[in-house]
Amino acid sequence: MSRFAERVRSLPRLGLGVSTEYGAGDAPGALDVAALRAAHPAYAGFLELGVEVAKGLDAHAARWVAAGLPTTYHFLDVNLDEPDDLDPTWLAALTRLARGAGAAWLCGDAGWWHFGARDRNHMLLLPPVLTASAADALADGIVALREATGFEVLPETPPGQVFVGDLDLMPFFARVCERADTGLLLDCAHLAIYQRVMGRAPTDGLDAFPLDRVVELHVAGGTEGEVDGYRFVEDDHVPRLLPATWDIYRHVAARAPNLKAVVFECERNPLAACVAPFAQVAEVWR
Amino acid sequence: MSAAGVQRVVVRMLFDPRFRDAVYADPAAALAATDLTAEERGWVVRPDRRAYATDVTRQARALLALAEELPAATAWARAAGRDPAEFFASPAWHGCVEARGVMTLAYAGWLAEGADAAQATLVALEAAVARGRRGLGGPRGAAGTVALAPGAALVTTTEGALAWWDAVRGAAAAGTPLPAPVDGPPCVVLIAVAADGASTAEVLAEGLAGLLTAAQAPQPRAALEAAGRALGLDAADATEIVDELLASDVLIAR
Repeated sequence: MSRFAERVRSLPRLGLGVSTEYGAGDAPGALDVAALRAAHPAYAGFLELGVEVAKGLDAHAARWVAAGLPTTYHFLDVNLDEPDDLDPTWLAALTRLARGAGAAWLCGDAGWWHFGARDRNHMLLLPPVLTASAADALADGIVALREATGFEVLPETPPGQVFVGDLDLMPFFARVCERADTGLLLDCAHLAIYQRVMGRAPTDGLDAFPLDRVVELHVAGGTEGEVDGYRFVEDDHVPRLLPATWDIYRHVAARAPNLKAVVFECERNPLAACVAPFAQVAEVWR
Repeated sequence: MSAAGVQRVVVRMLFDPRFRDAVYADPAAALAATDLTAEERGWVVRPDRRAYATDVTRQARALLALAEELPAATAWARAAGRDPAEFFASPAWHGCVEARGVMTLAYAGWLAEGADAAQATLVALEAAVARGRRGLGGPRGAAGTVALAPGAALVTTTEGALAWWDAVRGAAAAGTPLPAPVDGPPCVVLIAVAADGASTAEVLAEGLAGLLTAAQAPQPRAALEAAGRALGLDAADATEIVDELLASDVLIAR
């Protein structure tokens, strides 16, 4: 297979898009992606489909796909660092779903989507243990998934409040990208939370990361919470982006030559609440 | 130690506040049963301890999912004064995470600990459904063998238990007092889970119960038919019944 620098040229530029997952569109007050597309096509250039193979696509996603509109496939059910997770049955189903959806690529949070075996009750989302060996295991899983499906696979910087290991997040993902020779989905809100947890400025360390690896960005709002006096940011996808997320987004969007797609994650909010921030997000990256 | 081992400890600390406190108080002692190195033990206590508790509904969401699969057994436990949330502080939960087990089945096992006969019956029935749903009902067999299918399981109980189980689930859903268990002669119940997750339960006639009990051990079809004949079936009936059980996915031929 050719090198990432060559492969990335063949990936389509999708522009600004939105995300969904099974049932999200049915929640009260949820974003109507079809209405968004009709009213503001530039804000809904593509739909990122959050998919568990066991559930497949919901009716909203199926209608989008049936209309032949652009998509990406965001997995919600694989621990890339666990070879047993890439079982033939799951791989075949994922490939069928992604091809059927016409996905431009696969992507998804590169952490633990479940503990133990894949099971309906084992779901969670944890960041990886930040060590060199864990980065290597993750990279090997990315290569295996890419080779098995024929799709480009973009690991996403995952959310979390607890980070363990002896590497920082971005050097960890730099190692993953180098070993897997892959691109990255950088979630600006997740990174902002990580930087806050570690007591750092939002863009600390980004200059040392090879930003030509960044193919996709996520931006989303967050809400401050508190538990026992401990203040934290919950990644709840409200439509108001926090300043640190804006800082990261502006920094990376201006410096990522291979950036092809930006998702504004606001799937559980009404259209009217999202239009103004969509315009702001679009203003940063044209 | 692998990263997965560290991650499993993190999962246990996220779900069990008492374990978390124990790890922070004395990492070496609390993690003595793991292979974590001193450096790795240091990693898991480096974050602010409260960061582990930011998802305040984590345990409740997991319990909701468990109670959906074992509704009657969970309701019976609650009625007996047992708090299902204690599961997450139990060796059953911690062992499940460390051994990559199935949480639902670990929970069923925890509910069964010290259970009275009524609770044991509810756990057996609902755990059989959970096993069937995961394809863990019948055994793995070699090529050329016939056995109980992965979506099927047998439960030895008493006649009337199925109706009582239904009544307990109904009462639990309605929030009304749980009905008392009924007594009856022993019987064998077949639990069968279809590909879409829908389950059925039926009391088996004695001969069929014997045949399926034999099929819990994978064996050549001829041997299973011979077992049927030993139970009093004639040769044609044994063949026909095995055919029907294969066609209805109660048995599987490998």
